[in-house]
Amino acid sequence: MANYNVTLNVSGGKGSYATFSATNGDGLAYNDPLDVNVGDTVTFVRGSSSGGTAKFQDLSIFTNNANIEIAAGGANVVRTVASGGTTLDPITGKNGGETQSDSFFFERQASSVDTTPNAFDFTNQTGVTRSSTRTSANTVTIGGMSSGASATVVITGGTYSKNGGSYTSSNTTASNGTTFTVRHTSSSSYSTNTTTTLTVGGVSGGFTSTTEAAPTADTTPNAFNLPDVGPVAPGTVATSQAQQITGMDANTACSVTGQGSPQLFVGSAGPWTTSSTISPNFYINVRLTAPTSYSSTHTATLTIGTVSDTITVTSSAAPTGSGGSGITGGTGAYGIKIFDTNGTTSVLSPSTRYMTRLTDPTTISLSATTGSNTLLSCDMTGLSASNSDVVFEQFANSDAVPVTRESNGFRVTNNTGAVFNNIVYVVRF
Amino acid sequence: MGYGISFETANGNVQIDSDTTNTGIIVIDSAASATSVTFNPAEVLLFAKPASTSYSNIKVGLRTPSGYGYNSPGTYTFEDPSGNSVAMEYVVAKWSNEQTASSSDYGVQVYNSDGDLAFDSGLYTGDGGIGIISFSGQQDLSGQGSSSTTSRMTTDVSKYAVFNGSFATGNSNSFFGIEYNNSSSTGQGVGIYWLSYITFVGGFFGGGMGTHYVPNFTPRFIAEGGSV
Repeated sequence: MANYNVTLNVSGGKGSYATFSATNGDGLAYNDPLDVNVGDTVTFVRGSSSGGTAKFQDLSIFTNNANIEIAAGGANVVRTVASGGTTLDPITGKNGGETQSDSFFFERQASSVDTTPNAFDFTNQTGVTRSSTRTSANTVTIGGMSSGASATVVITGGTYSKNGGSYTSSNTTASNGTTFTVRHTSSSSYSTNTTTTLTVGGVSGGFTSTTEAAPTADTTPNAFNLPDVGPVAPGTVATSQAQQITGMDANTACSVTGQGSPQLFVGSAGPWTTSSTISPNFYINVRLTAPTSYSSTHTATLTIGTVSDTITVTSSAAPTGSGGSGITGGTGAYGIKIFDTNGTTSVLSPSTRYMTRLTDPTTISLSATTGSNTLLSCDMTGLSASNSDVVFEQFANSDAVPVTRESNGFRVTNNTGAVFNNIVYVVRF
Repeated sequence: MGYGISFETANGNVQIDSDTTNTGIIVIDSAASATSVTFNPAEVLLFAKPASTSYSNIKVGLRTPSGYGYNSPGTYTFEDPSGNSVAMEYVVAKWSNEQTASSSDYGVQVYNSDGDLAFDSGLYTGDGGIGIISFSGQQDLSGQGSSSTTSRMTTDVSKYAVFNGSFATGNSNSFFGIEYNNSSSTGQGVGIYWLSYITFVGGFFGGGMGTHYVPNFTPRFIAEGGSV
């Protein structure tokens, strides 16, 4: 707030002049008044060379507009500019006998209403849980506006609580002393910002939460075990039993190295390769070629992530005994052994309990009458309950169709109470 | 035996006998791990066992191809009673007289007296053989799975079980399949069991919900595959 000194010089006799002077502001004239603002002060001074009393009259813009008279030796008088609109105030100065006069022009400037608050902000939060409700830890108190002034409040990206009330996103107003907290829901994604902006009278404060970083993927599987294989014929490509790989939560690199040109096979689609990627809970197989010499081993190592296991394939022992004409015979005392077209896999040996079909598949249809039956004719020589039976080719969920043995075949009886259709044949094993 | 060739096992079981009309099975396909298999149940036998050896208990049956009736040729899936896929190691064996003899110029081919192909080593393509090691006759198994020894076919879970005649409905109310129990502390211990039941929902027979176990309708076989 400014202060202005206004000095009035008067003289005692008639015909002299009263003059204002020595102001520290501009303007004395009507067309160039001294601009004052609400709250400014004006000190009225009686000029030291004056004769008699100095009078100040016609005050209208001050908090006290009473006329002022300062006698010789009297004290200065201070008046404060009152609130109000733009007003020109011609102050009249006179001497004690009011035979002299002069004018001084003040103009009060209309006072402005300040609706711009002081800057404010909310404390940001980091590492917060995803999709969680986040409330600003600090409360903002609005200040810095004109007394009684009101400003518009707008929020984006969240809700606010005004003076501790319920959270809402509706526009509102605020004045000095109004408090705010803000709230929003954090992002559902990792390491992602969510920002709420509260704007009061054009001044904005932000509140940002940042979600936690994504956890590190677990690519270390549980320990696994590839069963060893063998003995197998020398030079045979031996395949492990499939192993399910668990304990990971992300795809992981896998590879196999070692003897016998090892390869791995992931899932049900493969292909056979030396390195690949395996998904959690998928199965994996390993194959490698057995040594071409007898009683030898080939070892391969399967590595998934940082976990490894070895598989050993052992070739069979050299056959013992000898036959005629340079042909090496087996150790068995009887029988015949037949090898597959690959020359190493035996498909029939004396120890194989083979299964043969004694009758061709036959369609039977038994009426709904309980006890209806049919005989499957068959040579029963050498057949017993331990080496032969009737096979039903089609599924049925009934246990009321018994099969009995007779001297010339198998009899199938229908006790279901409904028509029974199926395809049957006799097997020996 | 007036002519031909006959093989018998050490215990006297007939393997191949060209003097009869016998026809045997020849392995034509296999897989180390698969959740489905394409085959014709009317022509082949499907033997399977869990692909994993680290399981505790697996119940599995064949789920009929979508849109087909049971016994139709198509792609069947291995499923548990809840309809979840199960990875299985399987062997498919086809009756020899339903195959055409190979053109291989080595090995052994045996024909029956009626001219049917009984055996042909040239039809194998590295799949090894298949040997029956255990048998349960019709209705010998109670269907109660691992909860009863009356349903156990073998205590050796490394063997194959035949899956023809199994039926996974995708609905836990009924199931007709194989239970591989690899835990000695549950049920009747480690073994391969026949599990077959129908659960009646309230209202049937005047009572409430109840499970009816169904004995095996057709014989069940346990087999050993590979190089025999």
